[in-house]
Amino acid sequence: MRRPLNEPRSDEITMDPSPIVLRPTDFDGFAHAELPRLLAYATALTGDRHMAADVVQEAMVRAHQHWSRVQAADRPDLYVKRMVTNEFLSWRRRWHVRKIMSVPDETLHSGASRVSDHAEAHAMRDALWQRLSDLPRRQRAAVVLRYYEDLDDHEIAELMQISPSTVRSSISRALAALRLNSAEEGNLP
Amino acid sequence: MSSEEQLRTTLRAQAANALDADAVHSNITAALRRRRRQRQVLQTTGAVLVVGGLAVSVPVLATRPGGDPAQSVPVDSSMVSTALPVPTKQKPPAKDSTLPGGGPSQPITTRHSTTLVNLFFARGYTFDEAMALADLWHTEEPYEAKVIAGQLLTDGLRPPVRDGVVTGDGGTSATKARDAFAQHHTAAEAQALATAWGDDAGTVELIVGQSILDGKPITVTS
Repeated sequence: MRRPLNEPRSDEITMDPSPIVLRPTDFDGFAHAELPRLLAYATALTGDRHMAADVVQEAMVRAHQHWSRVQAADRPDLYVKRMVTNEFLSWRRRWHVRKIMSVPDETLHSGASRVSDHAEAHAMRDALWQRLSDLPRRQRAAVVLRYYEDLDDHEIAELMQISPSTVRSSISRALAALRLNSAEEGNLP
Repeated sequence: MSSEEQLRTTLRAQAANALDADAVHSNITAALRRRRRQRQVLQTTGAVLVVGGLAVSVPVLATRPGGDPAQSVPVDSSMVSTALPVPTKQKPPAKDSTLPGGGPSQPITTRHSTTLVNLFFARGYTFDEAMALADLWHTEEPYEAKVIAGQLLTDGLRPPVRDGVVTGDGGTSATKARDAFAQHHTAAEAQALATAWGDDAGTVELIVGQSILDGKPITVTS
């Protein structure tokens, strides 16, 4: 028997009238509430759903060990997202072999004149992801935090524990590299 | 589409491939339980040494990253559970002011597992303690243990755990609770109550079964 993850966190429900104060979060409730978002973020970060699950699992086990510290943070969700990011940045050797390389679909591309907009968009996304995966990890993390999580420079800086100017330069270099690579491949002007 | 918009679309498409959160949650729970069992094994070893009079304290190997393998900690043999305990009443059953309407005497339709889980946390118990109880009671998930513990609290009893460690002789197993339910009720009744509570039948069996074991069967109103 398991409580589905899309159900409200039981510890957030206030019993009224009640003389007792409920804890703002417990680990299980936190995990139920935050796991879907953390997994999506980690998948965008790594490009590999299984690797993302490993990263999140490691981070969550550590979050449990230091739960009082996580719980005391202003934003426990950002605190754990930082742990996920750090886990990704401390890339383990075994994960290298799991890097996913997209392979062009020859059948799809042989009918270029008949290819649908959807298929074309899909192919462009694949190509862009390939270039993203070639970025240095810190640059990729900054790009994901900006363009997937929609965080500003200061939020990214706090999460990555670097200065806002370093965030700006990382993203700037990443975008330049993506455009440069795009130009080399002739995909974008 | 601008290149920045392309970037957002690409990242969203990647994120949409994320694995099912329920499965990952199960893995996390399993990993935490494994760690907990590792600690218990080490503590048990330490307790045996203490009982043998070899030392007041024994080295306990680090079981978490960053731990100090050479650290010596005192081990209390009371921390080790050797048998499945039997419920022991800690205080006379009383109406529970933390439950809407006063607790056990309420019609069953006002009670469900969420309230019991809320009560478990409201009384100061933690997820660690839910895991300890889940190990003790052999429940599939800590959530079930929270439900049973919430029922114990509602019935004026105390879950046999404190500071993440199983204590003394209190408690029962999920199997016993389900058996107690089966002796007094049918699966159809479990399903009917589950529908009324908005829970699943398994949870209903635990709640009602635990109430029977506690000698305070829940009043069922139709």
